[in-house]
This record gives sequence, C-alpha cells and structure tokens, in this order.
Amino acid sequence: MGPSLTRRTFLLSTAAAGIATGTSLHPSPLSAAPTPLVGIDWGGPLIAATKKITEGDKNVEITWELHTGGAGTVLPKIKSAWPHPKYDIVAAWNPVFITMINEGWLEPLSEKEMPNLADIPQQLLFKDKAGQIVNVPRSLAGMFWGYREDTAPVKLERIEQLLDPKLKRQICWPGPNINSNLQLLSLALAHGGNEQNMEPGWEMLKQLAKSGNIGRVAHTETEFINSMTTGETSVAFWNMSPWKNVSKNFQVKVLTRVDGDKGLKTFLYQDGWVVLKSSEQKQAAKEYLNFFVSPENNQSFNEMLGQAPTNSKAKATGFAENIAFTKDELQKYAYLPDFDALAVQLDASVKRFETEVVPLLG
Amino acid sequence: MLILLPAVFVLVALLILPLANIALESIRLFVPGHVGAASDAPYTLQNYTELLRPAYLRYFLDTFRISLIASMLALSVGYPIAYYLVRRAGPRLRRIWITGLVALIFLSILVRVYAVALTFGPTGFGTEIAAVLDISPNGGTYLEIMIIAGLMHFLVPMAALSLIATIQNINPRLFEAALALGAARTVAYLTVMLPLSARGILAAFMLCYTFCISAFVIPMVLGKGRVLFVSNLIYSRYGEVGDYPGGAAISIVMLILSVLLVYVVTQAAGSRWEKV
Repeated sequence: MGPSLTRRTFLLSTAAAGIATGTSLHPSPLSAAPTPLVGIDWGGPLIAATKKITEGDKNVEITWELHTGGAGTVLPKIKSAWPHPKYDIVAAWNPVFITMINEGWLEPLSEKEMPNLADIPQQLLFKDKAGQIVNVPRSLAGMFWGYREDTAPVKLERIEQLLDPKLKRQICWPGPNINSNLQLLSLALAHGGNEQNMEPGWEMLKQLAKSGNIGRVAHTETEFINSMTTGETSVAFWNMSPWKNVSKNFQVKVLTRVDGDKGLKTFLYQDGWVVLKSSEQKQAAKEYLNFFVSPENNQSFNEMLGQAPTNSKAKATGFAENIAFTKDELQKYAYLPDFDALAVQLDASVKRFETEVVPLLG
Repeated sequence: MLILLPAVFVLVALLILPLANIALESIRLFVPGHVGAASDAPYTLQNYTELLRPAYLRYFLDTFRISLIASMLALSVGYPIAYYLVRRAGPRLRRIWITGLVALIFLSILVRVYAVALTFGPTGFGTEIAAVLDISPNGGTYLEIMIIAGLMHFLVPMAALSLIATIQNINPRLFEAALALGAARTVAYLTVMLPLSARGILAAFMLCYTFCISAFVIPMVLGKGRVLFVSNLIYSRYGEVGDYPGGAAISIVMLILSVLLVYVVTQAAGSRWEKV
C-alpha cells in the first residue's frame, strides 16, 4: 500500500516546496481569500490612482470612502466612533497626522514589518510620542499659485497683482480649513510675516476681499477644478494633482519658480497613509501599504498624479518636474511650512475668516 | 398613559439625550489641535460669547432673511397651483400634476442643486440673466438669487401639496356667494378665499421656513463659500476643524431662535384668529 495523501502531509510538502523555491504560501491568491479593509482617501484623481495601484494587490479587498472636503473632515468621524471607527487605513497629510498623533490613534509601524519604509527618507516620517514611526509617505507635493493662461486677465508675477482690478471675481480662494491655510501664509510671507505672525497675511486678505477679486471660496478639489475649468475663475492657489487635472484641457501656468517674490513660493508637503490602532486587520493593512510604496508602485502612483515619489528608488517624472528642485532651487523657490504652528491656529483662522473676511466678499 | 410610553422613550433617546449632550459640549473649553473637547475640559461660556460678534449676527439674519424670501415666494407660487388643481383642473390633469409634484420631492438633492448651479452658472444662462437684472453674475445678490432658486425647487411642491387639502376643505359656495353679491373676483379671492385658508397657509409657511433655515447643501453649493447659512458654520466647526464645542454652541443658539420664532408666529396668528 502506498503512502496516503493526508491534508497534513499535503501542507507540509507544499510548504517544503515553497521554502526550496524561495516562495511563500501567504501571498498566493489561491491560498487565501483577500482580507477586507476599509480605507479613506481623497476623491477625484487621487482615489482613481489609489485604486489603480490596489488592483495589483490580490491579498486585500478594500472598501473605499472619500474625504468630504479636506482630510481633516475624517477626524470627527473617527473621534465619534472611537475606539471602533470603521477605517483600517486613512490617507491624510502633515497637519492631520499631527492631530492624529495628539489623539493617540496611530498604529506604530516598523521597517521590519514594512521593508519599503527603509527606502523613504527619515525626514518624511512622523513619529508618535514614543518615537515610533506612524505614517507611510506616498507623495511629495507642493501647493502654489497658478493661473489659466487663456482666461486670466493678468499674468501673475508678483503677489500684489492679486489686487489688480482686472482680476474682478477671478480668484478661486481656498477656504481657511483647506490646505492648512497655506494660501494665507503665502500672503503673510510676502509682507514680512510667517507662521507665527500671520497678521500681514490677514491684512492683505481683507484687502483682497474688499477688492471683489475673490470669485469663489472653494472647499474641495472638485470645486476648484469645476471653477477653473468652467471659466468661473482663472487664478488660484492649490496643490499639484488638481492643477494637473486642469492642465489636461487648458493651458496652465504654475508659479513654482518665481524669482524675487517672497510670497509666490512652492509650499512642500507630503501625503501618505496611516494605520489606525483600532484596526482588526493591522497586519494586512501594513502589508498592503508596504506594497503601495514599493519603488515601482510609488513611481507609478505619482506619475498618474503628477506628484513626486517618496521612495528614494523611484523617479519623479512629468508634472512632478515642476517641483523637482535642485538644492539651490529648493532654497530659492520652496518653503517648508511649520505645520505644527498652522494646526493650532486652524480653529481661530476659520472663525476669523468668517467674521472678518466673508462679510467683505460682497 | 401607558400608550405614550414608547413615544416618550423614543423622544428621550433620540431627541432629549442628544440635545443634552450637545448643550453640555457647548459649554466645554476647546483646545485647538484636538478633536472635540476633552472629557475633563473646564466649563466656559466663551463658545457663546464669540457669537455676539456682529458678523455672526449677520449670518443668523441672512439665514432667516433668505429663508423668509424663499418661503414667501414658494407660497405665492404654490398657492395658485394648489387652487388650480382643486378648483379648475380635470381629474386626469390633476393626477399628472400631483404625480409631478410628488416626484419632484423624491428627486435627489444633489441633482437639483447642480442642475440650478449649471443652468444659472457661468456655463449656463448666468451671464444673460445677470445682465437682464443688471447685477454681476458672480456678485452676492446673484448668489442669493441662486440660493433662493435652489430652495424653491424643494419648497414649491411642498407648499402646493400641503395647500391642496386646505383649499379642498373650503366650501366653494362661499366664494360663489361673494361673487353673487357683487364682489369682483380679485376682491372675493382676497376677502373670502385667503382668510379661510390662512391656517393652511401658515402651516405651509412653517413647513417651508423650517426646511429653509436648516438647509445645508443648497447654500453650500450655490453660495460658493461667499453666502453662508448658519448650518454651514455648524458643519465647518464639527466637520472641518473638530471644534465640537463651537459647533454645539451655534446649534443651541439656532435651536432656541427657531423655536422662539415658531412660537411667536403661531401665538400671534392664534390670538388674531381668536379675535376673529
């Protein structure tokens, strides 16, 4: 009688074959059903790119939700459901990471569990109070002023030109809760202010509101894209991916390299992922995010968005060249904001905008 | 009394307790950079005193003013529709109209709002309409008109449908008697029909008005961030900056003002009708 094939002998022999050939049982799509995860990301081109990358990972099946405006809108959703929020992974950026760390919501991550973290520059990694990594940076991006060359009545070269009467109702101004209010910082910098002293920015913003040049106060990327593409407005301050979207159909001038103006800077930031401590699928979430930031996926994701990759083995191409600064250019054109200082001012900024700026918009 | 217990339970669980929670949150101190107030946050009235600034008074006034205009316009459009359907339209036409009005109520809010935005925006007839009205197509007045148009999308069917029952309950012979006694049609409408349907008009008005003052998506999309309703401020506090105490304070003030308004209007109308 020959040896009988039991379930145990089958598994042992398959595992032995896996070791011998250097393959693992785990990632095979035939060996396990995909792990269900719930994630939240920005809408528009971002979620499209995320889904495209995710198609390559058969180990997870992700139910996606979209941020309803800025990424900060996810915070109350998590708070109200804590310790059982439905999300396993959250896409966010610098100021939102800071608040999440303050709330103690983030799962520590390590290079041991996520080897691709080793290829990401240390400066991009956020750490919790215990000094452990808590984010997975996926893009380096910039926020900057720009305009539609075919419709803008003024070719913007100096921030003071925003007050030009020819720009009547032509500016799409991001709401104070959007972009961490970097748009206000750009006005402040132009007049000698900074993150700790935004007063010069407020003064210019009030002049801008009085001038009637603000045509829309946008609160989402979609509002910005609609406003610019329909011709409602032609000048704006926003980040790379939506600008790239507008540039698909219209000639756009992005002001990432402007000489001699302290306000027309490119404000650099990163967006990325976090895993919530409350997740019941932490391991699967980490494996997925490790896959997401592999050199090839990171490059492909950012090519779709026109942003720069965070993995040092990936290359910046296409629209991302707008912020691919040399060391000298970085000094000259880029600005690394103090997001901690901006985050604590956010509530007061929103109230100030409501009480001092909106009444002047007319 | 026992029959009321389920209703009392539902009322306490779904209305009183959440409202008490909001009221408590509204007097907590908010620390920027966090989400909501800490459970041991000290008590303060700061969230309320902030609302005493003139700008906030303006938001409340704008909300009540635009809501009043939209509700009055909806009634003035809805009343003739209801009157026509009750007194003039044949059964077939009446069925078509009522089906249309009910279907309008079921239409998605986003579809309606974006339909108004596209039709009256820069890609639609916005520029032409603004030129006729001699206002800027992107000015504050035009934005208010767009918001009122968006609100009326909801209000006209609501007003017309609720007024149908009112007009149906008025004896048509009273109107005919006025005409037989020599009153002109307009005078008969104004002196017989309108007073007899006043209670129904008031009910329809309150329905429209409460809908308007709590409208959120319509002013958010059509106001372009330049015309804000109080509901938009509440959302901003809760949804965007995590300032729950600030949002709770605005909610409580709005609730008190709305209840006061409803009370004053119904009391004033009630005392007038008692005299009549």
